[in-house]
Amino acid sequence: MDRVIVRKVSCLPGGIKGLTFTDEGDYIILIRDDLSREDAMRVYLHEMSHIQNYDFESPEEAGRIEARTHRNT
Amino acid sequence: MEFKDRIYNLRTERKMTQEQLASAIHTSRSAVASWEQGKRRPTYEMMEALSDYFNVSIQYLNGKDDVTPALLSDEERKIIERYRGNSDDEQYYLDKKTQQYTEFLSKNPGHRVLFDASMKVSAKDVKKVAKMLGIFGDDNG
Repeated sequence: MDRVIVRKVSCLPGGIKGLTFTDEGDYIILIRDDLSREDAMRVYLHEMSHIQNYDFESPEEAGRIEARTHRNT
Repeated sequence: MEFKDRIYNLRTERKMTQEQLASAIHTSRSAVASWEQGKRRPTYEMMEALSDYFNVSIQYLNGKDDVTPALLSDEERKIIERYRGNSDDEQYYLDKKTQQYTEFLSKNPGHRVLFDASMKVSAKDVKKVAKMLGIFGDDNG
């Protein structure tokens, strides 16, 4: 279905600002609700870049994907 | 600072004799003496042994990094090396277990998960999220 659904949540543990998970073809982006507007936007762009770069289909190691994404976002 | 001064300082800061250092890295006392006098340079393998033994980078041994290693933890040194682009280690997460969990979650066929997290994020926090998403049950380690 390829929808992108964004939610602000309060349940993410300390070191995690946001995440994206796939769910039957959709992408669900969760962003901490206690971030500043700028930080939340940065997290959103980080997560969108995973989607746009097809990182969820990539065979590349997660740690390498994050190293690359953090350099570029 | 040159290599010869670096190695001398690292050894004497730890109050070691040349003999003790030589024995720790499986070489001869005369080899250590010749490095400290600047007469000879160690082989690359020996540089690696020194780097491991003193817990400093090879760059530091070569005098290219002036951060005092004794003030930095292993983790802090890695962060600085990555920030400077000196690290060959392309792995983002610092903790081995976190690396394993995030790798598992990114390839999990039900829900593939990628994070925007600190490089120091704990495996415990990643696991908490996995449970929240229903990926790990309570008994799955």
